[in-house]
Amino acid sequence: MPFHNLISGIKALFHKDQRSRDMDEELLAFQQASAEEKIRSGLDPHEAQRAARIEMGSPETVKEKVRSSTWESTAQSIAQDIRYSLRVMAKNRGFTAVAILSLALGIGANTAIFTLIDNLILKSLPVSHPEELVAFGQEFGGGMITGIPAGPMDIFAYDFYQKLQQQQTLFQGIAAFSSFPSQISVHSSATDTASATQAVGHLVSGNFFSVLGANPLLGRAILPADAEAPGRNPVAVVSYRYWQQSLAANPSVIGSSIVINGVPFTVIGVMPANFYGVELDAYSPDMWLPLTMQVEISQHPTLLGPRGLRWLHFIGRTKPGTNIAQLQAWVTTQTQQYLTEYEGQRLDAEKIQQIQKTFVQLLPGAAGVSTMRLIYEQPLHILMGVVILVLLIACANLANFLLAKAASREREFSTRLALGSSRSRIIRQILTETLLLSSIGGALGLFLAFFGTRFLINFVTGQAHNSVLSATPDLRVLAFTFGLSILTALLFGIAPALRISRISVAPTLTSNARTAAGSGGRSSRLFPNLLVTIQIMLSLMLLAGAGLFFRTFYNLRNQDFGFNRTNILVVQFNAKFAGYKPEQLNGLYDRILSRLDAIPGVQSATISGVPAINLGNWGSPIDIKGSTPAPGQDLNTLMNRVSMDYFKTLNIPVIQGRPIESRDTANSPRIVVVNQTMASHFFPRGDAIGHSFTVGDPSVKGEWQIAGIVRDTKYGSPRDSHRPMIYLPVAQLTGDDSYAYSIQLRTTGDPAKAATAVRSALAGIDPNLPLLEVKTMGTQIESLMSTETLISQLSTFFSLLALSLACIGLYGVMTYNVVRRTNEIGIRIALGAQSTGVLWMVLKESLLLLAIGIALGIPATLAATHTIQSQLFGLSSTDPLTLIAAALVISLVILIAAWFPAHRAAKVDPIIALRYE
Amino acid sequence: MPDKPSDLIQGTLEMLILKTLALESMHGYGVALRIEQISNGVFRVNPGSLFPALTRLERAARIKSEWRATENNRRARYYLLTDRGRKALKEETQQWGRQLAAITSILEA
Repeated sequence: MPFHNLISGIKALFHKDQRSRDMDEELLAFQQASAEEKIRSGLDPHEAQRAARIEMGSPETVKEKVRSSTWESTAQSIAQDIRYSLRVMAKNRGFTAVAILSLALGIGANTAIFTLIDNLILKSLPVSHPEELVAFGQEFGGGMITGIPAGPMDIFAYDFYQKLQQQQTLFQGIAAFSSFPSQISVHSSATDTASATQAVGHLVSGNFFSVLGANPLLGRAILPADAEAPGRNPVAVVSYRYWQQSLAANPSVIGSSIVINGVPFTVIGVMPANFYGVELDAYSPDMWLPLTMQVEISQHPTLLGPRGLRWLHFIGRTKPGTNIAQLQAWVTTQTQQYLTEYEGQRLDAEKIQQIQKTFVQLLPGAAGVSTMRLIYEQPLHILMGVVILVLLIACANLANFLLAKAASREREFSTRLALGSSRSRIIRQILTETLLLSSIGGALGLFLAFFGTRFLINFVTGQAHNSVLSATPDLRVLAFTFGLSILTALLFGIAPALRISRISVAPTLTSNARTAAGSGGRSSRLFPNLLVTIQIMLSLMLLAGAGLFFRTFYNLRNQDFGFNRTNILVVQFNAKFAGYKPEQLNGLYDRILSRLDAIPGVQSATISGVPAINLGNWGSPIDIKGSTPAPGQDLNTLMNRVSMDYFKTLNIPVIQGRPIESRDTANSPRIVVVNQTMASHFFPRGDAIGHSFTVGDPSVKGEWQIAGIVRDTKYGSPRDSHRPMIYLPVAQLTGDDSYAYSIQLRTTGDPAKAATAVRSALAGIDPNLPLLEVKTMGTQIESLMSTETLISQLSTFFSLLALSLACIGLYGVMTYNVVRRTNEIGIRIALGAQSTGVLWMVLKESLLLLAIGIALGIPATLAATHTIQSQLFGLSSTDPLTLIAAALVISLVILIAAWFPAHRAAKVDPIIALRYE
Repeated sequence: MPDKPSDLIQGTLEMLILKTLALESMHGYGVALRIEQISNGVFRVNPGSLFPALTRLERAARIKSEWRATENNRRARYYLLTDRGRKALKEETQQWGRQLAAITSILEA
């Protein structure tokens, strides 16, 4: 619409009366001019006036024609429709409230889940041309590993990065970054506090910022020159949040010095607020440091040497228009060459085969890498499916209500049609009403979604304060909600609109028509009944799904973990930060344990590398002395380093041999305790005790003799099956391996109550010893089941919501049917029908719908739950118990909803019923 | 009845109004009368089509209007062709010519 047209349209709207008077005057002038012309041509004045009037016709009709030729008349009639719809809505307050509330819940739930999907999956990194970025593999989790993957490879060594830097020409650049964050201790003069604070550092290659195309807000980014030789360039680029919170947002911080892990570093740059690095996870880094400062930052022996451990992720920027398959083939060839050189003399036929199976997948890197995304991607998609079903049920409800209303307004519509209103105008008015409902519901839903998303984000990130996720809807979310509202309106408005378009003018206007239409032939009840059946079907799917998730959660939580989880307190500490050298550790551990054992209420205490159950663990292949492994045998074992009393504290029974005891010191012969799976895997003849092995991890030196076998326990994810595991006495380890980070205590009462005493006891030993976390074993286990908790709680909530919507729907439809059939029921009773007979007649109808809904729902549910099998634990997706329970719950609820209208029908008084309009 | 005034072909009324106003600016009745006279009474434009067409043209900024005194010293709304209207008339005339030639050649074939 041209601008001029728009402006004059708006002017016309504001000067309506003036316009009308002008038009009147113009038409009058036209008529007079016409009459004068006729007189001039010879008609007598009276005849001329008459002819001119006939020619003009009704001035109002002409004015109406002029008006309707403009756009503002359409706008006006839409405004009229909106006003009328608002009046109708205000008149049916109950209906309007239920409709808006159920739409708000439905749309809000969809928006909340979508906001999280948008944040986690759809958003691109805040860098230039993110679509050119590729990730090297899934990049799930991190760590330091060795060996040949014989499959997809996503963690690489430093010398492989250097090799690619020298050779690559197919990429604009390949950057490397540590696959794990580094907890660092920072001392800064800007903070004015004497004690050091904890922060998260991320080691990145010199070309990291240039490959990403991210520019600093202040100062400069890390450059290739900053990462040329180990230990040479202590520089740091800090995040905007860290700059604001810990460096007082002082611009002169550039060039100043901060002390990280005891080493002075120069702050060279501050990144913009929206930059969070490449990893979208609960904790985003506080600062980025050159890879070459790895020893100082991670306080681990160098990982920068040739033939080192693999610990880096890569991200590359492709040249525009390059073929990904070609790049992938090139990277895979490079990787295989590297592994072949790495193995060198150890290369044998089996290793060659494994190397040939190793490949690198180049995946779209526009959204960065995210462990959180990999963990929550599938749960979020499941939840999206769940909330869509909820919205569908809400739509079916509203469609039913509107159908019923449309039916009772049939006479009104017939009258309007008879008076000359067009069908399209009436349909437009109905759709206006539904659109109005859904947009109010959508706006309210957006508001609800904001709080829902905040809750979800807190859940997903575990209340981490530096989360990069945001509950504030962006344009994509707003567009999604808007589109969803429109779609919803069409979905529940189309049925009533169709119905009205079929109304004929004549029969509904006769006074006795209501009896025929009112008692509703079967055909007129077909559509509402169909909708109720669909609702029952969808509710069954949701309820059964929720049941499966709930039982999965229950099974995981209440399974036998192999150790006694009650009354255990877990304390995470870090002696490295406090400056302890490996030689000092055994003395420190003894002091800690004897101090803790003395606390009243503490039964026993133990120190270990990680808690009894923990994500991300230590592992290595082992080499059994005096035996050659069978080809293809998996030699990997999980490892933990523990002090004595570990098995006693956690109540892990010793099956055979002995546990770690006080005699196992740094100077005594090295012994090891293994789990049952390890013993039976490596020693199928049951003679594990007394055998020795060496550990593949080069830092664990010497031979270890098996002294005892303990019961299997869950060690990683609660879903994992048992794997071979060895427990090394921490006192017998050397160097970096002798650091242990976890204290576990068994208490007589509530472990949380012992926390204060434990804190003060540890502060009594060394006030500088940082305690990173104090929690109960229960909390630790919960944190490992966050996705299951999320899915089971939300799906239960949504299925109950869906069930109550379906229940309201059935109640509404049945009540409405009874009201419309009051007349017929009255006649039946007057002719002698018993009230139980009437009750049964109405109830039968609901039961039939219930039966059909469940009969159709069971195969639909089985098909739907089949897709979530991988998310379940300890039960099959076809679990009959869950399905039967879901069907029973639905039947019960539907029966209650159907009882009231049936009861009402049985109570109909024939006299009143026959007089009923 | 061969003398009965014909209905205008869809969309041509606006072109005829523009052409009429290209000669001189005039009021609504003047436009209707001029079209009737020039077409020897074949086209008779009634107010019900004339005024919506004038409104559309004014909205499209092809014509503008002002109140003036008539020769009989009455107030009337006069319509004037704008530059944009002149351009539109030229284009539409050319297009009409081409269409007419095409139709004629089909009919004479």
